[in-house]
Amino acid sequence: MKKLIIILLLLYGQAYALEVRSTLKLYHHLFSSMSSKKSVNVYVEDVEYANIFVKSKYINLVSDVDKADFILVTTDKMLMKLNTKHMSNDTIIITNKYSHMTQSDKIVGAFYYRKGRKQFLFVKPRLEEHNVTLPSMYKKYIVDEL
Amino acid sequence: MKQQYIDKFLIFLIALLMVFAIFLQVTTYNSTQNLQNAEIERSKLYAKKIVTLLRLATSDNIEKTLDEKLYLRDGINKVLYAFLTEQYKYIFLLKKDSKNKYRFLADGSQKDTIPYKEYFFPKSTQFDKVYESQKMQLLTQGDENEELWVSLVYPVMNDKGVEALLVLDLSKEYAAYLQTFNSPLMKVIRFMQWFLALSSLLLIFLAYRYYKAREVLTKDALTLANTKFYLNEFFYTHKVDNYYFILMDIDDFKLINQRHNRQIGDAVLRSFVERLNINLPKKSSIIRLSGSEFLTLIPKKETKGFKAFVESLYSSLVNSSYSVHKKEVAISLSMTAIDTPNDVRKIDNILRLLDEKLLKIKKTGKNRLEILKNISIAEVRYTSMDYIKDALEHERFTCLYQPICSSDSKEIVKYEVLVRMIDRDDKTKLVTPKYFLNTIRCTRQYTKLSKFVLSEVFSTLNKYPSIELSMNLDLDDLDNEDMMQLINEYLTSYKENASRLTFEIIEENEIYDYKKVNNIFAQLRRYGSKIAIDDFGSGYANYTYLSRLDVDIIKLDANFVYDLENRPKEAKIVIESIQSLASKLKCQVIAEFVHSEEIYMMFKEIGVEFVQGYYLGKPKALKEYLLEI
Repeated sequence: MKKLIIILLLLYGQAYALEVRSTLKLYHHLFSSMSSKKSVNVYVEDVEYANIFVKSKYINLVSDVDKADFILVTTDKMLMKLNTKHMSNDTIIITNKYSHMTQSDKIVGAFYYRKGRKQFLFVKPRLEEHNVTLPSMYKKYIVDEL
Repeated sequence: MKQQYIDKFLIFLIALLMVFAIFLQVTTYNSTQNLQNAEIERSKLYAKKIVTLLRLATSDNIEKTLDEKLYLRDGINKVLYAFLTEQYKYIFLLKKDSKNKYRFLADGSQKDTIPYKEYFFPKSTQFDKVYESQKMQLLTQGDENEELWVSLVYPVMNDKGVEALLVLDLSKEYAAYLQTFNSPLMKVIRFMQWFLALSSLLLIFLAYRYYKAREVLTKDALTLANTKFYLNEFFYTHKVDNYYFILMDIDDFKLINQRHNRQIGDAVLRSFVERLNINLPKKSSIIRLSGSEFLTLIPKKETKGFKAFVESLYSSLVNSSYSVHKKEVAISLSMTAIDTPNDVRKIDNILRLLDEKLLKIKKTGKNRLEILKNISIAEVRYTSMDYIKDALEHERFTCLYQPICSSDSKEIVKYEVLVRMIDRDDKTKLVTPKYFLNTIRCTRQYTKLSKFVLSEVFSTLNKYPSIELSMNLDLDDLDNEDMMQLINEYLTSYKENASRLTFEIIEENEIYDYKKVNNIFAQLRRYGSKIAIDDFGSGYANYTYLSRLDVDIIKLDANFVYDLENRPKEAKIVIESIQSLASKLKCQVIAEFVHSEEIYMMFKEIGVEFVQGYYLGKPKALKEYLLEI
């Protein structure tokens, strides 16, 4: 019986690990496409994302917005806070909501789900403003304006 | 049924079950596919209806209509929502803009409805394909999408071509629901699969256990030779007549153990098997039948000149001593070999012949090799229990009569009854008891045969009141209660004829309880029958019998005939002394194997009263002798 419980726990752990791994893989690719740094500083307030990013060697979580290479906006509250703050061009803001892209020009790109499908969205002028050139696989997600 | 057939049947059965399980699985899969295909067909009709409604509401340009009439956007969303039943996760309308980007025109989701003209980036190129081909496309979403099973991308056409795309996403939940129609069957299949997987594992485990157990059973731990179990198994898959057989036994092996010790004895056995192995051709097998008895199987293909090979093997096994634990141990060996006739199928028949031969060697001095030569398949067959049983069942036994004559007048005084088996294929061929008697001894068949002989004897006595008969009876039979009961029954039933019958007692073993034997003789004599000692002067049948047993007749052994031919002077003295002794004991003497006039004259001169042999008459049907008279 003990063995069975251990096996079930391991299987559950494996499934969770896969979830973490796929999310990390996606953000690793996204960040490394926009930055040439060996490791990136990321500012995120969402605990769920923070718990995932903390497992990465490539991502360093920072508590200071000014020290961040990337800021991941997950709430309207955070968006409002950032809108009032002057941000350096070196800091790239991304979001997990389409609506945030329409609400703030500071946000360069978004990763979100629509109708059960993964979606990326990048606005060309905002990319240019931050001197970001995306690899070809992201080209089809770039729009001129919203 | 033979084990090999049972094994093959079990493997066939499991294979059949596996094929059946696969068949069920394929059938169930096809059935589920058919259900899903039917659902997709239904979705196509759905899409067609939705497009018809859209057309009614938006005339021939949806985008333009929705751009102009904002209130219609919500209306269209509601139309799509109306079609959003349990099988559909999402229904939405897309359009490619001037920059080839897809945008939402309408969304049937009530919650979090996608705003008008929000961008949408399909992963698949199938959406573009619909624009190009103007034909509906189906997209299977695969495992990476947890919500969607299949997407139906339907072109909304106007005069200029594809105006928009209607997307109906069928949910994975619904696909799972469709599968539940076949789920009881799937459960059976899964159960079968588990059962077969477990059965296969169990079979592998059992096969391993069998292999290990077989190893223990088939290999003799002491000598590493094979065991009897191996022998039985070997001939499931090999033909007996493809092999030569050699049976050997180390003489008086117990004495080696006694003189030295058991360890030395064991070491001798090991060395013996090693030496045997060295001298045997490839693919031969050694089987340890008992303590010091070994059987070897030699493939005929591997040996040329069987006789020379066996002789050479024999000398290599006995001509030099065995050096074990710094001691030199010499052995003597009794060995017999057979060149197996073609068409012999049963190993038991060969073993019986070899056993008999080896026993004979053991009884007559041991320490020698005898090869069974020119054995025919018929002879091998005659020793087979099945063959004898068949002969008894089909009454293929008969009795012949050989005359016993007065030496003075050559007049027939009685006949010895001799049983013969009739060959199954050639009715004129009669088989002597040396082939079949040992096989059936101590079995029900032996009693059956004895019953036949007794019946024949008493019926002849009854039919011919003037003749006397003599029949053989094994000393061991007198110890057998069933046999004695049978004899007593006949004696009692035909007591008026019993006085014309002589029981010729033949013996293989020494008598220890003379009192008991005399008591049995007394029973046999009850109604006047006589007792004769057969083969007097050979083996255990000697002078002691005369002094201790109550006998009426002694029949001289065949060796006396041989002696008369080779050492006549000495033989005559011995026979005269037996005759004289017998006369004093009021015993009659019969000389057997009288095959020539010369021998007949010699016995007559000595004064032996009765003679029997080919010179006086061969074993024949009684009628032939009666006609001669």
